[in-house]
Amino acid sequence: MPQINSENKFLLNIKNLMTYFFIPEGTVKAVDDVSFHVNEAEIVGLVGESGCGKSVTALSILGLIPWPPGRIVDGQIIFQGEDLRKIGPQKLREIRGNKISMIFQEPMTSLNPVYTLGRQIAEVYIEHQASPKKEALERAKDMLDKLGIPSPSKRVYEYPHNLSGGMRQRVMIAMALACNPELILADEPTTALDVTIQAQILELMAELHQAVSTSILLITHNLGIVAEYAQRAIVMYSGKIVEEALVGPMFEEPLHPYTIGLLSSIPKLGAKATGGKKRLSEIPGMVPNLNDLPQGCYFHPRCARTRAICQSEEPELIEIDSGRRIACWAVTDGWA
Amino acid sequence: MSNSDNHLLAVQGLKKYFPIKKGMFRRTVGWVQAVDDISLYVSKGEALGLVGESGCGKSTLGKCIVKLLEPTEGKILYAGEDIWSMGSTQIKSYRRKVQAIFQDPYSSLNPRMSVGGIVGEPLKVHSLHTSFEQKLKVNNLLKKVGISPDYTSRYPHELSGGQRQRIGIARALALQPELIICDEPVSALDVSVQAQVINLLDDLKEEFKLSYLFIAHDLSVVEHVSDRIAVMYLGKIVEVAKDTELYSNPLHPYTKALLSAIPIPEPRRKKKRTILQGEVPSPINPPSGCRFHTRCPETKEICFQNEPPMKIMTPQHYVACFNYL
Repeated sequence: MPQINSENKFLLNIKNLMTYFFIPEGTVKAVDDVSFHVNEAEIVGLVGESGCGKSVTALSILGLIPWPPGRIVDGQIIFQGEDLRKIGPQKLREIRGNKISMIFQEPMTSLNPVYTLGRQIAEVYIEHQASPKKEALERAKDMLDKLGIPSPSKRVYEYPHNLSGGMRQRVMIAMALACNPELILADEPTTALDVTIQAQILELMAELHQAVSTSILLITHNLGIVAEYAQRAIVMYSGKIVEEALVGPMFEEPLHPYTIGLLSSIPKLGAKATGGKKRLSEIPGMVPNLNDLPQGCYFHPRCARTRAICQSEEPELIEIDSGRRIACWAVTDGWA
Repeated sequence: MSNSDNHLLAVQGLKKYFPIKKGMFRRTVGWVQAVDDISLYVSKGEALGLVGESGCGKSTLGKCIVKLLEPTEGKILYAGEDIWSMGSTQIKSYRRKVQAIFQDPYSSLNPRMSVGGIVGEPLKVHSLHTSFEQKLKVNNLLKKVGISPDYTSRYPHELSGGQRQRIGIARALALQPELIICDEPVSALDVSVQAQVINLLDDLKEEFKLSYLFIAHDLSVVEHVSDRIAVMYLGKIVEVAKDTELYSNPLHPYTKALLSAIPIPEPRRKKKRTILQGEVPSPINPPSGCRFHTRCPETKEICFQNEPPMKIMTPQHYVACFNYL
């Protein structure tokens, strides 16, 4: 039931999502009041360090949060005009793997070791498009061929352990793309791979994105990948979005102290050749424990610009320019 | 290679093959050629970076140097002495001078030992000080790596990844080593913590005049830390050059591909990317001739048959590729 109103032009619109984990030590607010959207045919990069809630956000979209201990406490996940939290398990199942699919980080643990690759890919077609078994297997072969896996008609009878990491990740992508989804959630798709294989996989994803104009939510801790492949970037810290901008402004003129810190703490290739050896600037301290978060802005204990207000009041995520949002007192109040 | 007097560590023609055993009688049916004829040196006060993809043998090389693995062939000389023909007192002093930092700060610290115990153990093993002096020393070491001495009675599980890595570094420093083998010391850490540990390693190198063999897969990290970089592919070294030279003038096609494969956080800088086809072949049956020929974009006929020798381009820049012969 797609309605025509301004907000529904987004493919995916997440509003005030809160996913909490209830553990004996207390409540862990893994995703806390997160709102963002993904347009059609867009690659959005979701970056942050481990434990910032980026993976939990993706799992929440597909309703894959294990209860207990985790639960989506509040918020809306509007996909093509429908709130995925309200449509019920049956319809959600139809959307998963069909309209929204996911690529996980570790291809070895996300493929079933006791089934052949052909069967695992064919399952998607059988499940979602009611293809007969034989046809599904043929389509699986076509898909493997499209993804540059050599001799696909032999590969479909092989098992995941026969493949290298890069090949397994290609199989994962084949499964994710099987039904021409509108949105792919790629959770650290290349983190477990070597750089040359990473380049192959990313290039492949970019080509597929061009060819079928699928939207991709690219979740990664690697800022370089976001800069090269995404159009828009969202930075998360301790369960909250701290900054959002188009990739150009985000990397050339980051505003949030955390984004600035992250960008200047990675060694840049060739920096020595052009400007002498510089010391890396570091963000002092470490990521706070999610069940013992500081008062006020979560970043304030590590931030160089901290003032009194940061310690007591949490900054809101404010749109300061079209498409550019930031949660920082220093920026929104215009401190010198 | 060049004047060998100030070479702290020299590796000459090192080979390490692992047997593959099969069948009821565990017969050896083949060999994994993890490290195949490698020669390199580390000078005093120098950081030599060693990059390569997983399975190229870089960690095996590191383990041979710290005497955790015995090489199949070749020599490792430390200050001119072969470490495999040393007497027991010499070995003890070698172990004091050469220390290691490992990748996984979770598995390289004993979970049952307190921080003080871990950092103090090398001192105890080598019975260098009285127990009171040891305590003082441990406190000093912890301060050096940026950990408050209050942590001495804590256990590894109470610490974050970055803190654990600092403990690993403090332990390596305890015996005032001359050379530290750093095997992927920052790859398990988050970006913001990674910078802290890299800076710490840089500072310690200055302060204690340390030499590093810095093993990692991330070329940008290696470039930052090292003075010279060796690139490894499938058990062989394909190129060695000074840090800036390797970046500005890479010669080997593999080095070029590695450099171009790294995503750079500058959206405006569009670069031409060489995407390597295929994957790293297995070291069990490495390709004939040049090991890189199966993926090389510049293959010539000779690459299929002959192995390219290491050619000295300039005194600091060596490359093993037929393009430069």
